[in-house]
Amino acid sequence: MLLNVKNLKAQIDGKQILKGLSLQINAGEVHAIMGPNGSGKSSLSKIISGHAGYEVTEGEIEYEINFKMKNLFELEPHERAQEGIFLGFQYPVEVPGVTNMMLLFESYNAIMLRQGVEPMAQDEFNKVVQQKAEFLGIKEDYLYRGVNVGFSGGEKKRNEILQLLVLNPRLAFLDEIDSGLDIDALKVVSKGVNFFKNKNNAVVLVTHYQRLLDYIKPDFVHVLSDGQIKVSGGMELVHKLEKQGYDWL
Amino acid sequence: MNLNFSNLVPNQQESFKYTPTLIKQVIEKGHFTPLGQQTDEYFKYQHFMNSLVEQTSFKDFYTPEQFWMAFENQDLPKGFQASWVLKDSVFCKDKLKRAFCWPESLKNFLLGNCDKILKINVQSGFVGDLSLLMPLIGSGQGFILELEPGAKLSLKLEYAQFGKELFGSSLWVNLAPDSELNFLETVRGDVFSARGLWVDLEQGARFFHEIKAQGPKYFRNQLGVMLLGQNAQAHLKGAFDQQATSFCENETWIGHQVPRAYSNQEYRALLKDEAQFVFKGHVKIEPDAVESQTHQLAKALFLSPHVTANLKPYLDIECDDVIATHGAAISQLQEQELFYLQSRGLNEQKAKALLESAFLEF
Repeated sequence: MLLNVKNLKAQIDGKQILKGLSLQINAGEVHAIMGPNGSGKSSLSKIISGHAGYEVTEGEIEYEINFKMKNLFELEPHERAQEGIFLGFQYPVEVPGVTNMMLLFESYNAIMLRQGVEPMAQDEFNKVVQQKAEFLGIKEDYLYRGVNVGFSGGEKKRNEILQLLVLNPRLAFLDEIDSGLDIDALKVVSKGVNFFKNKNNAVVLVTHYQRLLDYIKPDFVHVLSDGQIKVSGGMELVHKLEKQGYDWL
Repeated sequence: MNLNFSNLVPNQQESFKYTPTLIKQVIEKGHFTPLGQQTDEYFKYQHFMNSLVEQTSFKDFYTPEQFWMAFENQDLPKGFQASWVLKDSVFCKDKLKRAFCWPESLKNFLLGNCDKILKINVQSGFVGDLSLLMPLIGSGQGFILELEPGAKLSLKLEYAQFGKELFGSSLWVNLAPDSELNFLETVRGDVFSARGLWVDLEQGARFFHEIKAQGPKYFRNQLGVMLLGQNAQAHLKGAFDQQATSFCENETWIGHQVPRAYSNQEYRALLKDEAQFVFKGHVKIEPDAVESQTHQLAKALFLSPHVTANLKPYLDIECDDVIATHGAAISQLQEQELFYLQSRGLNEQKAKALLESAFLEF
């Protein structure tokens, strides 16, 4: 098992967001988490990546490192990233003055250092990034601009996928990666995620819409409501939600 | 301390293109002797010049005095000329007369207490660069730089403090029509100095100025720009990285005297410990200066509760048809930016360092 969330309860500013959430994820799987606004989807992503704003009041999260399940709460946010957890942001942050290439290079080397792998030289690294950028239709000059600065919504999401492909994590939590995308951008983002996924990693798609799941087929679909996973199933659940909404839960 | 550079004793046989190695040799051989004799001051100065060689980021450079000597020895790259101008000459008086809208304090400051000033001319058609090192050894140092029509110079200037006293220097720059000056000034941690820079721009001239300061003890950037010709442009930038009790002041005056000139200022300060930063920007647009464009922005990033920033952009506009903006902003590191970088594998320290250096990147 890659990730095991057990009866997770968490709050932010005294407000209970997660109320006993459990979820198991194995390598090679694609999970979709759907649910109404305010149900706790984004909170779950942020807690897993280590956002400091949340207080976990109960439950645990275990994550597999070197074939052993480790308590995730013992790792700092950057250590989680270095161990292969990637959060694709719903609203990717603009970081003026830090170029995309600079961030990718620093991140990549930080991860490699932790994994005990020799870092790549800048020239060689640039070539790798350029290839992946080309695959996603990202122009080369974007790589040398400030991270997400002046990017459109679609470009920001594409940039998240570029980071995903370059950093090659083991667990990718993609928080509403489809929001604000037109159909062409959605296709590119999906192409990237489909290219990324393999039997050694897992993808979690947090989304509102079936549309994304038409391009990236999930193995499991979970419906998160009121801080808990109420129902789990397959694509049939998605179709039901599209027809009936969340009222039946 | 009262070192007089006019008593320098150059060796006529030597080439005076001063590389660090050559400076060392010259010092060792005793050719480069302030006061012409081996006094205590000379030994202190010798030590200082040696340390300059270690510290400067320049490979080849001149001090203003060395520049003069190189000129005397006909060892300057083609396109440069040098001469001395007396402070009470018509040239200097005329310059001061033209600075009618400037505050009295700046005029006095620019006059300094030197009696003659080195004048460097860059001839028409010249395209190239020059690195100058300004050892701060006394007040009233400085030089005049004139770019002739169409000349294009990239000038780098670095200050180096000798002793602990406050020294002032002044630079006068004249940019003839269609000339261009790219001017980078570097100020290091030990500097304790006030510097006045006065720039006249004629028609179509372009002035790009940037100060990079690494935590100087004290640095006062007094910068006056006169846009005297149409379509002249002045782009001023400053990046101040300050720690401990570093105190930096920027006082700028920009005069738009004619139509259709452009000015832009952006100053940023990264403040740690008990550092202090001041920006007072004064732009004056005269009644005739229609279709002028001016922008000024000062930003400070606070990294300690004990720092101070005093940001005062100021516009004085006497005609209607202009585009003018001004702004001041004080901020701290953004939590969401930090988290974003951490979520990409950078530890908190590294993420902060990256954001801090990014703040000072233009």
